[in-house]
Amino acid sequence: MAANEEEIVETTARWSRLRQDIGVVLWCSFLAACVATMLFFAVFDPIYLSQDDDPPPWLADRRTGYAIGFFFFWMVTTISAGLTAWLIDTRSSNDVDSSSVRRDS
Amino acid sequence: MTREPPNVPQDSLYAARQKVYPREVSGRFNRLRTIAVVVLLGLFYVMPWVRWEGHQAILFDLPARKFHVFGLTFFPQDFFLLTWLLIIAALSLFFFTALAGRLWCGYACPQTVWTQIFVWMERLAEGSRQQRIKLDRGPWNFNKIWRKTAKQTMWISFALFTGYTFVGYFTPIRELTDHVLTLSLGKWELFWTLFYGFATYGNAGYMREQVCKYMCPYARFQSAMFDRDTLIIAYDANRGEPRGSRPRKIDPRSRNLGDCIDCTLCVQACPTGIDIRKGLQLECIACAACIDACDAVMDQMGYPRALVRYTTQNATDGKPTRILRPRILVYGTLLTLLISGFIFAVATRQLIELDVLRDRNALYRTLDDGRIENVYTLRLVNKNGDPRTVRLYVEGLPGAELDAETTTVRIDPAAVMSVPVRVRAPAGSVSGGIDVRIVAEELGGKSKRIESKARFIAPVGP
Repeated sequence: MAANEEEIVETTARWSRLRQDIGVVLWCSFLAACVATMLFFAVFDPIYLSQDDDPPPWLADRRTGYAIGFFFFWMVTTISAGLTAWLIDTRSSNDVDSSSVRRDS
Repeated sequence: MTREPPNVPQDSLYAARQKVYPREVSGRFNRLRTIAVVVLLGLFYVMPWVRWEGHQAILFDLPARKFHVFGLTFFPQDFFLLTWLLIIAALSLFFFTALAGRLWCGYACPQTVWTQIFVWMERLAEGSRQQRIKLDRGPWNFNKIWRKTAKQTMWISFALFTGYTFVGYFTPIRELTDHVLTLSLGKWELFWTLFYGFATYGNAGYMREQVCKYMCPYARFQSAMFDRDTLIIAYDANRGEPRGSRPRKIDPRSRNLGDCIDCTLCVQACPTGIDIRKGLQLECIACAACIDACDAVMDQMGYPRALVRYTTQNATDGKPTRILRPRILVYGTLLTLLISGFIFAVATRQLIELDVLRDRNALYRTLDDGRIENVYTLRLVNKNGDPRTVRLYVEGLPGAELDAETTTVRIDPAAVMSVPVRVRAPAGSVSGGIDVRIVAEELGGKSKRIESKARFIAPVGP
């Protein structure tokens, strides 16, 4: 029985809060950025970026436009998700309606 | 304080993660998953190599902004079809979740499928669960270094191969292979191969079911689609309790014991590290590893199987389970409508497209003979797999004619072309502006007309 007890502890994996938060923020912002990239580039052709008067040569490739667009969206969604997570996490306990609180145990 | 899920003690912010060592199980559901893994990953790795009418069957040619799916070519103008498809996918997920619970999670999710492959490689290199636990606790001797190196080599090569295949959906995979073999991979090809490869390596090698527990939005909201008739995995507490160990040959009733021998194999087999005997939990991805583990034990003990089994809440409570219920009928009807609508939309979509763009520099021009001329750029799209020829003319304004370098235009297969045209109207026939129709009539077998409205502008006359 004691051996079994140890086995159970062994299989219980749990991420630290920080790791959970980073994971959630990065993953959800990644999904949102994928959707945004798809919608955006379905309408706008990145080649037009290079039809500026004096485009930098590296913009000539559409793939560069897609990649920049994707990482830009991911950056913005990460900032938004990160701030949201942080503000929810650090809000004053006085301001939380006690009826909606999920209490520990 | 408000966010901590129940029963989770506050851990230190930097607490080291305890590793999950899921115990290997065999059984019918594990076989089912193996089949799912082979079929789904097989499709993923083989599909880019399949040819169709001389080109790659499935190719999302982003640089050219064209999607090839077998004989069909899709352009950004067909974007609504993609949106439609995504809605169908989402609704299917709802439908199957309501019907059969987390079937997606246990058998079809890329996270599960790739994790399975990585787990197999890990077992190949490091052995069974007990051997892996021992290896991780042991010192860094030759055996450990060798086994860890073997595992990493397999993981990294497989991840890179996965990344390369992924890029093969966007760059023709034969070209890509040439680029790999001649070490002349383009910078974006290399970047996305590494990016996707790294994501596979991290997700399937290290994060595994932690992704389901902490990061997956579907895992959190799927319970909203559950009802009492949804297929779940549950432990039959009535039959199992009180649990306890006992010699194999005795009748458990004589010791006042249920059928659960408390071997904890179901817990050891669980990739998310939960105890199914505590009831349905958010972490459960319905992989059925606990069923396989428990069935094997029940066989050994000579007890009937299915102490842990696929069941429904109603069945557990001794009530009848209904498959057809309003929720299923509504989802099913919607899904059928959407899918048939989608097929209809694809089958009847316009294969030649015509857009008219007005010349932005001049509203109109008066010719020497007094006629009024407007200039447009026509954008013609041919979504067919063969070249098409169209004749261009103008309608809706008597006496008007369309002039271009040639009014009979050949459009290459799966191509977009721009044709500058001039429309001329007799003097005095228009005052101010009028809408005309520019027509592209397809020549050949079955002639089809595609028309687009254009604004013709002329000076305001007396």
